[in-house]
Amino acid sequence: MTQTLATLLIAHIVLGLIGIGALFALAMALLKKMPSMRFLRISSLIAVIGFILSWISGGYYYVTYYGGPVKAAIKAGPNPWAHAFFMEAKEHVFLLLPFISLALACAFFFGGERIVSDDKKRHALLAITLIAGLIGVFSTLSGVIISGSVR
Amino acid sequence: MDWHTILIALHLIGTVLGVGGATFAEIFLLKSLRDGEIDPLESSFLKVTYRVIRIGLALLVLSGFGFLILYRLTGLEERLLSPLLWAKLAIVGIILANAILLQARKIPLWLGSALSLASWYGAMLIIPLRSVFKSINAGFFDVILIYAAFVIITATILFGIRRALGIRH
Amino acid sequence: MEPIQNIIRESNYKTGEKISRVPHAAFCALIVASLVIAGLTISADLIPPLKNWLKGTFSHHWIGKGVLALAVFLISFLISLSFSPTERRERIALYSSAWIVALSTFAIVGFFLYEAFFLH
Repeated sequence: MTQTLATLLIAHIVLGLIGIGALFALAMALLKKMPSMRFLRISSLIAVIGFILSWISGGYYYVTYYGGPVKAAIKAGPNPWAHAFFMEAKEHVFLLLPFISLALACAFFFGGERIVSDDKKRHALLAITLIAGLIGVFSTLSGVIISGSVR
Repeated sequence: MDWHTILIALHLIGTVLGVGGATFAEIFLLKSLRDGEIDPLESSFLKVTYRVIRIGLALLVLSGFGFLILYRLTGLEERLLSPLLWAKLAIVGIILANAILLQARKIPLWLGSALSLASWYGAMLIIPLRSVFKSINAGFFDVILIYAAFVIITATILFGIRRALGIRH
Repeated sequence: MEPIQNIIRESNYKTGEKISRVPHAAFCALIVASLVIAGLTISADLIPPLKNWLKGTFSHHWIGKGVLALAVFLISFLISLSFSPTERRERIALYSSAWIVALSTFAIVGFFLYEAFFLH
């Protein structure tokens, strides 16, 4: 693995974790009756930027490097299901994250207090945030399994 | 200074903030509930403590994954599938889920605080006790069972303390 | 018959206070993009010519899915912007997007779970 690819892999993981952390912060804030709009906006913006950059860095690594030596090593190793299930599922569900975080950011920036003060809408936003968080956690843990299966 | 040393330092700082924060959150909570209500000053102490816990958690998660990245890049991939690592990841997941459930008031306070305290100490002690776990050939589910027992013990001790202090639920 | 208070509230928002179209448009676009991502993912695996087309057009099937998802999101967003949403429609868009995203996720994960562990 070249230094560039290693840097991209690190960036993908760290930025993804920052995105997930931002979603966690969003969820905690949305659970309050009167969350701070400033906090919601900043957290959602961090989530969008984190996931888009994680998408780009991980995508480059995946398209240029993973498909060759890494995938072959996993498929030939003791855990071929690490690619067949975890990588396949992760690479596709991850596609949802940038769009979810973008929609959430639009709600907080353009809907503002009007949306957040409505209990039903706030609960729907919370549900979407938690779903996105679970997708993020699944992607992260899948990544650990995939990397652990490279022998 | 190499990356391993930096990550150990960050991980230790995160652990200290998290475990220390969780301990004092429980102490402040018990003290606050003695008179049956949490006044604004007590609430402000608790809020600051929770913020410290969250900073500790962020440092812990980032440095923890830093270790995983290091293993991946230095040919130690087999460590990523270690049962002890996955038990620790599960416990950290419980800390996060517990925080959300407590905030949403979907979990009773006595259980949430016991889970929080036991999880922080559990996550901290897993690695130092790895030689013990290895000597008894403990797998993932064995460690989780021991952790569950630890949660029950913690809840029981906290229940006893609350009763002694006259705190009612 | 919906309670009269709800109808009045929506009318007030329709004739009086304007609500931003952006949140409603964003969540409508999210719904469409989620369905496209799930649909493309599953069908590309089941229909090899589709996967080959994605690979041939975009150099990699995964890039193709991402690009198409982005295009669909943007187009749906722009189309949805032309609608004047009410509070009720916005609420429906929010709830629907939560369900659709969850179902899309389960569909993708369930599909690969089946393919990896049960098909062969």
